[in-house]
Amino acid sequence: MNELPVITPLSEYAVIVSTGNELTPENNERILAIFRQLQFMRLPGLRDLIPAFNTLTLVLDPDWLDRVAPGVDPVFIVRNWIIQALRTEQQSPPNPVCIEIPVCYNHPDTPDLLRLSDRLRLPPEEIIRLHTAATYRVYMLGFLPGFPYLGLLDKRLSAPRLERPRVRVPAGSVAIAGRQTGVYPLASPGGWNLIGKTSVRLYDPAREQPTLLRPGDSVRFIAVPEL
Amino acid sequence: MSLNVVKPGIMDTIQDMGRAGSAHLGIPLSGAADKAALAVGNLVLGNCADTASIECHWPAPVLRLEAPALLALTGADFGATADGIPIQQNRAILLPGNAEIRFVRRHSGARAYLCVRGGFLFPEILGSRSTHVVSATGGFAGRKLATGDNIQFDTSLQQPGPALHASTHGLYPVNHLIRFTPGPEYDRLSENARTDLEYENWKIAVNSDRMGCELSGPLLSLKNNEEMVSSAVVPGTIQLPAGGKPLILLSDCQTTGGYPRVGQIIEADLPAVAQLSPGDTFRLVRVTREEALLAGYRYRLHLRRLAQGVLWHNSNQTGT
Repeated sequence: MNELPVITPLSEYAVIVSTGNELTPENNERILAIFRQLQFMRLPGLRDLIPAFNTLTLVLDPDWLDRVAPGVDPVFIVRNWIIQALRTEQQSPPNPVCIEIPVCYNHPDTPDLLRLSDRLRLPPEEIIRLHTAATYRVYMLGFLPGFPYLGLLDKRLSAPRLERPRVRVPAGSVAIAGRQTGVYPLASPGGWNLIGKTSVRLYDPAREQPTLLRPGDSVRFIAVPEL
Repeated sequence: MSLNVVKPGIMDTIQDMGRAGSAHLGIPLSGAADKAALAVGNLVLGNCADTASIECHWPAPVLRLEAPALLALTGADFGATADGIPIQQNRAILLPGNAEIRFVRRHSGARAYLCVRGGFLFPEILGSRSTHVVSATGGFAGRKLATGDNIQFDTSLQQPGPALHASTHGLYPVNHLIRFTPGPEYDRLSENARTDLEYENWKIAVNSDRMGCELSGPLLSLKNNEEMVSSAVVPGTIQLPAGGKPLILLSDCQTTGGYPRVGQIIEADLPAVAQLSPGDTFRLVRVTREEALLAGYRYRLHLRRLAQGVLWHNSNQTGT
């Protein structure tokens, strides 16, 4: 657990910390444990933290660097922060939150449900049953504000992305691709298979907590007859 | 009292230095695409570099002042005039109430910044006034400016300032040479692709906006096509999507991406990239990490000297 992760630069001031290539919940939890610890440390020169599946990227403030450590490569500063984060007492994960998202699977905005039913050789009811049976982990947020990468999707539902992404996927579309599922918080271009629709808002800049979900949360989808 | 939008440009938005601190929620940094120009405009007015301004593209807007204002125009030269009289770039100019600001011709650059003493008054959303149009966050109702919009500023601050103008000499790279460092997936480029990246001329494609600019030139190939796990990207990251056309990410870029990150434009040269328009050509020059860090330090030193009142030229012309 306390083995030092690999640290490589992305830009002059953005540095990637990675914990290995395997996309396991354990690897992701290692990333999020460091993420929480660094948030808790309230480091003055740290401008942004970007946790992903198996990487955590730290973005440093260059003006702070010039004041405090002129000429020092941010990679060394990040290495020290990570060592410090791994040594200090770990912040226990926040109380596990399981957020339920009501989904209408029988909705005009679900153009791929029947197509997948053919392709996967599963009746639509079985796709819905499998999609709602699991509790998913929020591995990361990205792509759009509040877009959750949720996993792992049941193997039987694994289908490739569309060859030609749609120009416009409506907000609230519930989608699957590979071993992942997600929800589009905003209307945007998108290449995932659309199987459901929710009226829950995943992103609202006016809210104090603008995104519904945070990295590490759990999500369940609940089938509802209409929205 | 305020600035009134008589006729909007193609994409005028309120921008400051960006929305840092929310990337873990998938919220992009946003902010001025050319952060050097934003800093210069604010520093000549005595503002903090991070103050909110209007970023304009070409075609640019027609604006009317409803009260006197101490303004500065920086970045692209769109031939700005106030009531028909040309406005000098990179200096503070006091314009009378009722003045009409027009941009008559695109001479150079892609993005102009209009700054006002004290900044344009908008509430901060997640610590920034920047507009992210895609998610309707920040700025003027989360959107680009439209006819009839009134943009407020503090009229009590609009006093004449010294007739000095800021030197941007040395702030932008010369001869369209843009420096980059190898990205985390640079090693996945084929030998030919690595050579092409550095020795070919690149052209900005039409498919370019505040999220990023697509480059047209030779198609770049990878040694293998293994899928990449999504990971962080930042403004300046050079991504290589499946088609082989590199993409330089700008301010509104996503926080994460799944394409190989083959390079990274250095911080000091990213403002110059933001000033390239579709059709403009440039060359990429590979530098070491040490060179990139030193160039970044010099870039910030230039802005710091401007903030301290050094690197200013006397200007005999008085404001209109």
